[in-house]
Amino acid sequence: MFKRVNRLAIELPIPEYGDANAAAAVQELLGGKFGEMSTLNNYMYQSFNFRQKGKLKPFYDLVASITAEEFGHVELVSNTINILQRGTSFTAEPDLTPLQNGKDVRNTYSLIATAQTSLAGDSMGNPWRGDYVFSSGNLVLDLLHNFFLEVGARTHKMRVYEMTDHPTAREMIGYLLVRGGVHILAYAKALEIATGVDMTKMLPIPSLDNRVFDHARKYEDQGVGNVLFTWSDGDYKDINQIWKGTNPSNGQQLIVKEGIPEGAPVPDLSDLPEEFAPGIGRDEFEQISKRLLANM
Amino acid sequence: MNGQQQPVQLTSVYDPYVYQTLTSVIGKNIVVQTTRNSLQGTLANVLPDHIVVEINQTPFFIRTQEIIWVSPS
Repeated sequence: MFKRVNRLAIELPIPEYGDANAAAAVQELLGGKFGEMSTLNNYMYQSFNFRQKGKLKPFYDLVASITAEEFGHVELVSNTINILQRGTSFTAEPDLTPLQNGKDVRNTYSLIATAQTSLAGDSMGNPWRGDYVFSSGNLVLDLLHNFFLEVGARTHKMRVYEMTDHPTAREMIGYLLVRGGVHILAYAKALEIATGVDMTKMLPIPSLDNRVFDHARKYEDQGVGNVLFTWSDGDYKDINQIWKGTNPSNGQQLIVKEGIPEGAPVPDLSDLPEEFAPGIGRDEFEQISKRLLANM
Repeated sequence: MNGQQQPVQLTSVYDPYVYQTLTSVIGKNIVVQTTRNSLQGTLANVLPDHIVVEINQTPFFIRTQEIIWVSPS
């Protein structure tokens, strides 16, 4: 089962200007083949489908706990996309064409299908697909796939970082480059324990350090790249049999922390009358308040 | 050309009527459509070559040449 916490992984900056086309590019990191929806669903299904969860418990614990972190990453990227779409339209009567700028942004779904928020799709508007999930049941093959998936995701993040300098997008990508680096190393170590092959010798892929990216350096300095959380109140502790030793990128000790990171408040979104969202005006709100307080 | 240096002249576009009209709505809420997108906020100041629109106390300096239209909101 899952328990939900109303916190976001990090505090996102919310400038007074957006960039709708940057939001469209960031969609790739959400619903693309190598996006957060793919990492979430790959580890989620692999943990559901895991054979011999007891005998191979550290590996099961690893895939199961990272599933929960990926859920939070889906939440973080979605919130980034929402913030990036600020200021795309103006508030006016429908006949004044308040959504006119929507014709010239790449992702028209964001104005028509949603009220300028995130979509479960990629940067070209393709829906996220269930066949992005790889769950063969062979432990080494699944771990190898996860290692590849995380390296691919890292590459895509670096490229989207190079496409936009919007502060919200870069803060999110800087953090996820560091957390993605943790997952790459975690799967590399799991493969080493499973097979004896040292995968860390080929890292980093691409062969440049996270510290090259301004917005990742802060998180590297904080040691965010050395910690693996259990994401549970008592389960999945055996990840410490895999997440041990030192981080090959900085020589620092690897740490398992029980539970979840502190996180930050979830950003709120203002109303958008030109999208009829949420479509609850003063009168409706007063009636709702009465019904909420009434004994029905 | 012909080894002779051509004189360089700097020119600046000045929209006197845009400037005059916008001066009359300083302090009002407006929508400005620019060549990139629209901005909705309070017109804080108008100068010969740019205007200042404040959105949630954050100033945006917009070059007059990039303005397509302005409408009250």
